[in-house]
Amino acid sequence: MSAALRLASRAVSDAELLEAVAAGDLDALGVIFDRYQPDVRRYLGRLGIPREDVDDLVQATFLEVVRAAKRFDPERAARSWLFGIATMMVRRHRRSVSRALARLAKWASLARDEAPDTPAERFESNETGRRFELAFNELSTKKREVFTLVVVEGFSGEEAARELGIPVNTVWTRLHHARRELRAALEGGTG
Amino acid sequence: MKKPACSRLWQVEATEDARLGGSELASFRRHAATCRVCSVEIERLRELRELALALPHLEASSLEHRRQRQSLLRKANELTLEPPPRVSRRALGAAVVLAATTALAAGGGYLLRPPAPSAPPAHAALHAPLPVARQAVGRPVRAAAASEPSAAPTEPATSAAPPAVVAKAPGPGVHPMRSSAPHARHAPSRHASALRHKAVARIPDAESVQLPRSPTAGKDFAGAMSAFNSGDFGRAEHLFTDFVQHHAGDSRAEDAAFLRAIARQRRGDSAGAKALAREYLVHYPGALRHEEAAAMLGR
Repeated sequence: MSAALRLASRAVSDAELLEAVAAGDLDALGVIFDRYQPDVRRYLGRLGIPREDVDDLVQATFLEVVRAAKRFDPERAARSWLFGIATMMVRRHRRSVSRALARLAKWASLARDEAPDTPAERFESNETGRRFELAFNELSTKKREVFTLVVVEGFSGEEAARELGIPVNTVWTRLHHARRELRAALEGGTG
Repeated sequence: MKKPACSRLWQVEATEDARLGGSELASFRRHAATCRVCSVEIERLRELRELALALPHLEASSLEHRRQRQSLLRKANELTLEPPPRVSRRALGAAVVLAATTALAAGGGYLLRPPAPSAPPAHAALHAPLPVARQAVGRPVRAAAASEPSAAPTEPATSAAPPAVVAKAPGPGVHPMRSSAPHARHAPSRHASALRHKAVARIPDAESVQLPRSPTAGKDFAGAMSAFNSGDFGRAEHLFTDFVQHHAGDSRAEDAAFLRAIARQRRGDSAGAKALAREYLVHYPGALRHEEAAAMLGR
C-alpha cells in the first residue's frame, strides 16, 4: 500500500494525520481535508457565512491547520478542534471591515429576482421551515454558534465551551435563550 | 414571572443536552411518561432540532471539492516554504539611519586624524573597492557592475586593503553566496531570483578555491528543481541526492540537502524525511533552513 493510500485509509487516526501535517506532510493535510471539508463547510454555512465567502473560509480554516497542527492535543477530537478553528476564522472574517464593505456593495447591486438554490427553494415551501430559518438567521452570533455546535453538530456542552473559549454554563445559558427565541418565532411571537 | 406549569420542566432541556445522567435521568423519564407538560416540551425541542437539521446547507460537488483540495495543497505548500516574517520597514529604516550615522562619524574621524606615515596615497582611493557589502560571515565583498564580463579574482589594491572578488549575476562558475539576513530566506525559486539581483560574492577561502566547480552543477540542480516542482518527488529526491554527492562544494548543495528531505516527506515517508533533516542539520549546523529542518524533527 502506498504511503498516500495508507494515509487515506480510515485506519489512520486524525491525531496521526495531524502529527504528520505538523511535520509538513501535505498528503496528510489532503486526507484531513477530505474527511472534514463537508462538515466545516456546513458549519460555516450555518453560522451565516455568505456563500461567496464560504470557500475562502474553508481554505483559511484548513490552512490554519498547517500552522496549528503542532499544538493539537491528541487527546482531543479533531473534529471539534477543527470547528474551533473555523469559529475563530469566522470571527476574524466578521471583524474584517473591508469584507463588510465589499458585501455591502454586493448587496446594493444584487438583483431582486435572483433565483434561489434548489435546496433552499424546497425548504421555503415549508412555512414552518421558512419561519425557523428566518428566526435562526436573526439569532445573535454567539447564540448561533452555540446552537449550531450543540444541537446541529452534536457536540457536548464541554466541547463547545472549549472550542468557543467560554464557560460551560455560558453554553447552556446561550443555548436556552437561542431555543426560546426560535420557539417564540415559530409560535408567531416575534416571527 | 410566570410559574412553570411543571416544576421539572427545566429537566427537559437538561435531558436533551445530555446534562442529566444516572438515577436523575431515569427519574425524569418516569416523570415525563406521565407529565403532559413535560412531554409537550420534549416534543417541541425535538421539533426544533429537526428543523435545525433540515436547514439548507452548502455542499460542494466532487469537482469543487477536488478544486478546493488542490488549491489548499498549493497554498499550504507555499506556506511551508514561505520565508519567516520580514523585518519591518520601520526597523529597516532605523538600521539604515544608524548605519549612515556610524559611517558619517567614522568618516569624520578618518578625515580629522593626523596622516599616518604608512597610509596609502590619496589616489589609492580610486583603486579601492567601491560599494562594499558585508556578508554574514563578515567578509567584505564588492558589488559588481552589470557590464562586467565575468567573475574573476582581482589583484589586491594595496597591502592594507583586503583582497576582493568582483562578481556579477550567477553565470557558469560563479555561485552566489547567500546572506543569512532574514529577507534571503525564500522558497527555492524566489531564493534564486532574489540572489540573482544581489550579485554579490564572498572572497573565496582556501577550501572553496580548491573545490572544483562542475560545469554541470547548474543543469543538475535545475533538473532536480524541475522534478520537485512538477511533483515527481521520487525523482527529485534522487536528483537532489546525486547533486549533494557530486557537487558537495556547490553553494546549492545545502538547498539540495534540505529539499531532498522535503521530497521524501512529500512521498509520505515521514521517518525517512526526519532522518534526512537530521543529516542536513548535522552537515549544515548554521543552515539557512535550520528552523524548518528542526520543525520537521518536531523540535
